[in-house]
Amino acid sequence: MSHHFILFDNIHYRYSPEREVLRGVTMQLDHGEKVALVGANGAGKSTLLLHANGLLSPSQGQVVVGDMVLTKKTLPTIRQSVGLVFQNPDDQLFMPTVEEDVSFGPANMNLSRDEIAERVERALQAVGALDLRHRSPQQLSGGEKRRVAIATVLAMEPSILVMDEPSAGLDPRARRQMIALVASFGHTALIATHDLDMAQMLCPRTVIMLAGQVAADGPTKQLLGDSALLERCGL
Amino acid sequence: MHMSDTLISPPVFIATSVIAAGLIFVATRRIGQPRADQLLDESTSAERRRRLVPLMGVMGALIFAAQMLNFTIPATGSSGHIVGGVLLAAVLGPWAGFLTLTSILVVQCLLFADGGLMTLGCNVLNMAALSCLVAYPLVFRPLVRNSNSTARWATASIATSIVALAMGALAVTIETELSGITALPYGRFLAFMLPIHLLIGLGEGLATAAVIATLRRYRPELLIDSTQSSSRSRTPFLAITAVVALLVASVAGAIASSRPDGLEWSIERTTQGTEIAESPSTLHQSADQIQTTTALMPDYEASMAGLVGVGATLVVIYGASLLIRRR
Amino acid sequence: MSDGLQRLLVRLSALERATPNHSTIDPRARIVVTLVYLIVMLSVPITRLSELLLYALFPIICAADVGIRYRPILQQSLVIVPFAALIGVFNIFYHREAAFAIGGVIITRGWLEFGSIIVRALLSVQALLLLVRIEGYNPLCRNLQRLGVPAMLATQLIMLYRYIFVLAEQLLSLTRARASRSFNRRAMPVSEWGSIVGQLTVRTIERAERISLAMAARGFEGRMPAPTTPPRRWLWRDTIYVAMWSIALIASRVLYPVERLVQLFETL
Repeated sequence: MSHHFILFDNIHYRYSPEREVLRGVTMQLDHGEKVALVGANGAGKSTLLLHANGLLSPSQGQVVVGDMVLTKKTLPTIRQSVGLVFQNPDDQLFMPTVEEDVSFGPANMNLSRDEIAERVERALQAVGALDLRHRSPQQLSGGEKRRVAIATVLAMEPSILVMDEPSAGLDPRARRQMIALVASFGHTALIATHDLDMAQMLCPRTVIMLAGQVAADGPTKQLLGDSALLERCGL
Repeated sequence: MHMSDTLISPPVFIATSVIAAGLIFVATRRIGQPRADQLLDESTSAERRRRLVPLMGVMGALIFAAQMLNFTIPATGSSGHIVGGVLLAAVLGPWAGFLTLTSILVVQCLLFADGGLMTLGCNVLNMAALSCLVAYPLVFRPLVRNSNSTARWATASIATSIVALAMGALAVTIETELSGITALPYGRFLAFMLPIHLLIGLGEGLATAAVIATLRRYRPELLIDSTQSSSRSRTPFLAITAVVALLVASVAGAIASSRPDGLEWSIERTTQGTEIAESPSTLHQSADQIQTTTALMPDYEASMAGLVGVGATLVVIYGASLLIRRR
Repeated sequence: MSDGLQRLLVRLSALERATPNHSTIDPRARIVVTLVYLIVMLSVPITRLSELLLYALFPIICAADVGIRYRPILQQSLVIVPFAALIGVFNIFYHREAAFAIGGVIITRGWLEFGSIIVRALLSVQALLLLVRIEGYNPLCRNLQRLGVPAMLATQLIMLYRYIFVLAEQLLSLTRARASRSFNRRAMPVSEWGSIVGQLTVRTIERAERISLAMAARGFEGRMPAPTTPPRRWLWRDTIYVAMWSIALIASRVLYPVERLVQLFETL
C-alpha cells in the first residue's frame, strides 16, 4: 500500500440495542501521523480501536485502510496492515516462549520458515528484546512483556500501529523506554491513552472522545492546554 | 480420586486408555461444531473454534489454580478442593468441558505425578468423562432447563456433582478390582470408597453451586450451554451408553470377585488354623510355586472379559444412538 | 496458602523446559521407552517382588545417562508411599499364607504384595518424573502431538500451562485482599470460596474474549500454526535407543534373570 492512512467514517456501534457505544465517529489519520486518542473510561476508545482492523464491525459507517474499504473480503489483508497492540500483554502473549509468540502472526500468514525467522529476528531487534527470545512470558517483567507484545505485532510488518494504553502499569523507567521506543517507529499510529504526558511527547495531534463521539480534534498542545475542555471530557 | 499406576494391571490400563483416547478424539471433532438443535447463524465453526481455544485454555488454568485453594464444607468440618467437571461443562459445554478437564488431569499427572501415566485413561474416564459427558447431560441439563430459580441451579449443581463422584467411585472400584492388585474384596472396597466420595461430591456440589451463583449474578449469559434447551443433542445417548456400560462392568466385576479363585481357596484350606504354613524349604522353590500361582490366577481373563463387555456395549449403544439420530 | 501457591509456581516453572544436554535422543524415543518400561514393569505379578526390584535400575540408569542426579527424583517419588501403603496394607491382612522364609523369619504373601505395591508406585512415579524433568513440559507436549495426540489437546495443554501463572497471580491477589480483611484461616467457607472463584471465573472468561481478539488480530482462524522451528528428525540412533531398551526390558520380564542368577548360585 502506498498510502498508509486510515479513515473512520461515521462509525456507529452498539453492544446491545439499548447501549450504543460509538455514535458517529469520524476521523482520518494520514501517512506517518501519530495521533493520541484520549477520553474518560467508557468513552469508547477501546471499542473504536477494535474497529481499526475489523475485530468489530460497525453497525453503521465504514472503515477505510489505504485504498481498501474494510469488508469480509479485505479483512485478512487489512489485519496484516493494521497491527493492534492490546492493553494487557498477558492477553497477547499466549504461547510458551517469546519466540513462538512473535512467530504466531507470521506463521498464520503462511510465510516460509526462513521468512518467519527473519521477521521474528527483526521484530525482536526493533523492540530491543532479542535476548529474551527463548524466555517464557511468565519470566518477563512488565516492561519486557509490553515490548514483546509490540514485537508480536511488528512481526506482521503492519503499516499502521494501533496501541491501547502502551504505558499503563509500567514503572517510570520502563515507561520512558516505551515512549522512546514508540517515538522511534515511523508507522502511522493511533495511541489510546490516559497518559497525557506521553500523548504530548509522542503525538502532535490528539483526538478527544466523549460518550461515543469525537469531542475535539486538533493539535495536542492546544487541546491539552484547554483545561475547560479537559474538565468537560472527564480528563 | 486420582488412581495411581500401582493398583492397575496392564489389561485394564490398556483398555481404559483406548476408550479414553477414543473419547478425546470424538471431543476434538465435536468441539466447535454446533449442536443439533442450534441454528447456524453467521458464527461458523471456525469462529466458534477461534473463541473456544483460548476459553478452554484459561478455564483449565482457572480450575487448576482454584484447586490450590481449599474450602470447608459447612457442618462437617472437612475441607476439599474442586474437581471442576460440572462447572467446566456448564461454561463450555460437555465436550469442551471434557477435553479441558482431561488437560487438567494430564498436567496434574506430568507435573505433580498426581495419578500415573498408565492410569491417565482411568482418571479421564472416572473424572472427566463421567462428570462432563454423563452426569452433566443426564442430570444437570434436565434439572435446570429453562429455569430461572437459583435454588434449582444449586440443586442441579449438587445433585450432578454427587452423581458424578459416586459414579467415579464406582468406576475406581471396578477398575481396581478388575486389575486384581489389591486384596480388598469388591464389596468392601466399594463400601470404603462410596461414603467418602458422596461427601466429596457434596462439597464439590456446594462449591460448584457457589461459583455458578456468582456467575449467574454477574454474567448469566456465560452459562450458555445450560440455558439453551437441547431437544436433540446426541450427548445423552452417549451418556446413557456409559451408564449402561458401567453397570455391566460392575456386575461383571462383582461376579468375578465373588467367586474365589481356586488356588487362593486351596491355600486358605491348607493354611487354615495354623496361619503360618510350615516354612518352605528354599527361596527358589517357593518362587517357583508363586510363579505357577500367578499364572493360574484367572484375574486377567476376568478383567479382559469385563472390559471387552464394556467396549462392546459402548459400540453397540453408540451405533444405536447414531441410528436414532438419523431418523 | 499463598506460600503454597508461590512454591507451586516456582516448581512448575522449573519443569517447563528440557534439561540442557539431553538432546542426543529424540524426545519421542524417550516417551516410547518410558511407556514400554511402565507396561513391562507393571505386568510383573505382585508376588514376584524380587523380579520387580530389578526394574529399579531403569530410573537410575536413565538419570545417569542424561546427567541428572537420581536422589532428588527418589525423594520426590516418596510422596506416593503413604497413598500406596494405605491401599497395599489390605493385602497384608487378606493374604496371610507364607511365601518363603529368610533364616527363621517367615514372609507372607501379603507382605510380598505390599512390598510390590510400594515399589510399583515408586518406580512408576520415578519414570514419569524423569521423563518430564529430562524433556521439559512444553517440548513434551509438542512431541506428544507428533506421536499422535490431537493438536487440539496439545494446544490446550500448552495454553493451560501458560495461563496457570497469570491466574494463580490473580487468585493470589484476591486471597491477599481477603487475608487482610479476615483471620488467615487455611481453608475458607465454601460460600466465600465460591464468590472469589466465581469473580475470577467472570474475569477469566472476559480475558478469554480478549485473547481470542488478540489471536484473531494476528490472523488466527481456529487452527494453531505449525511450529516454526524445524522439529528434530528421527535418527538411526533413536531407533537403536528404543530397540535396545525394549529388548532389555522385555527380556528381563520374560527370561527371569534374577531367578536364573539365584539358581546359578545354588548350583555352584
